[in-house]
Amino acid sequence: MVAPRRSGRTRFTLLVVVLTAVTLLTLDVRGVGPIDSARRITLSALSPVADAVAWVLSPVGNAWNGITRFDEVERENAELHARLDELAGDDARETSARETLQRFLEQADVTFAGDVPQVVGRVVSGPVSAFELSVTIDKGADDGIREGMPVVTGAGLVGRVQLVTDRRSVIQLIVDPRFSVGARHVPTQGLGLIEGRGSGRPLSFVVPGDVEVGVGDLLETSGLDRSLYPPDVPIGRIIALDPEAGPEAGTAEDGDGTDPSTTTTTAIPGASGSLPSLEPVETQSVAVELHARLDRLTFLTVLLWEPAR
Amino acid sequence: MSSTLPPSQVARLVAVVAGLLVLQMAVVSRVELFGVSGNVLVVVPIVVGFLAGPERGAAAGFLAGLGVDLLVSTPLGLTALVWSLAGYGCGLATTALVRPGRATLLVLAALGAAGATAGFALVGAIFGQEQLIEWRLVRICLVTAIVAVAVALPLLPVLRWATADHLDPVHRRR
Repeated sequence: MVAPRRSGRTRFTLLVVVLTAVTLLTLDVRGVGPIDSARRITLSALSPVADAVAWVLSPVGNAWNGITRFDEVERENAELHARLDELAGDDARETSARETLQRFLEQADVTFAGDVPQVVGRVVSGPVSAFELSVTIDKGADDGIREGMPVVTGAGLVGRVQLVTDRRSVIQLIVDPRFSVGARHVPTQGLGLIEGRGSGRPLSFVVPGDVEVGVGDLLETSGLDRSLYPPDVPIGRIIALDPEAGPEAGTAEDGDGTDPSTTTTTAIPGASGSLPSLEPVETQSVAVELHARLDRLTFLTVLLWEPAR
Repeated sequence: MSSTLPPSQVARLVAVVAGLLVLQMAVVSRVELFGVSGNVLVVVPIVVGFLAGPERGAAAGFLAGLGVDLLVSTPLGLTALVWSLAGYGCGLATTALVRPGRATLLVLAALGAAGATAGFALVGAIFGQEQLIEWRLVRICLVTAIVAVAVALPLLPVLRWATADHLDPVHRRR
């Protein structure tokens, strides 16, 4: 006689937690409630402790990554040895360490942001979950960072600020499928949209079908009025006219950019009439390789840019 | 939830979840296997379900999932929802067995972790998070299962302490 009553209570408990979770889900999806504040408080509370624990246990993690990524480390080691030999045999043997350092600083310097104020932060942790495509840096609202600001390296755009606490910022990486940015096709000045497609996959550049795109063409932020990003920030280059192609597809032959498999028809509002007339516009989607490397991010620069309102 | 877990147990479980969140942020998320990192917290509902039955497994899954939800960008409650079901399922599976032992726990950890991870992606897609269905999903499930098996036994005494109910001998039997 006890079992059915207990079973009923068990199901009731499950029902309560499921309904609570679904309620929270619905509220968050609809943007209701102080959920972002709860996230900020949690991140602020746990980050200092996690940093301390990470510092203590970093040899363990380094050793593990050294073991599991041995082939990669060995390859890098070989490359570095080759580079070292090259430098040793170089006529510029007398080049001082200071000049070498200066060259490094020039490469790391962000030169494309004009007079936009910048804050450089160190990457202190990766994503908590394998599904997340984000990193956390050690600078936050105290340094002037606000949500939505663009994040770059010396090579170009890498993401945007997703969440800010006083001393931490979570950066959503550009490869996140929820990320999109208006882009300008440099050779033709055609405008389109770059979208992330997940880790390890090239970005997608969606552009009107009449824009002639080719492999190797460069893409930059559009810088349109009220754009979320400043103009002329490098993003990447087109590596294939097939959006499903991987990075190895960079040798694909140049075409007219209207591969039927990637062409869609979209309706955009026209300019005349009291009601917008919808004229079909063909679009094409091509694969884009990011300029910046996301696998070894150490320092990131936040551009303290806020779009004009 | 207070009828499911007394306040003292809730407090202990929250402390364990907070400690595991720190461990996840500081260590586990930085250690990659096959290019992805595991998740140590998914073990909480599985082990609690194994130790204390479906009711407490669901409650523990809700708490642990909520903790993770506060640190990721997917909607709050998504992990809590899926992990509640995972804890409930593991508890039900355990009660159906005559003599569940440590080997059972390891099998539950592997299957439960992989199932919870896949379930998270599927339920997330229903709630508009289509990006969770990605080509790395199988690899993420596999690594999560491996990590879960690795940490299930070490976490057993910790979670037994967190969910211990000295007034109820049923919950002390394993």
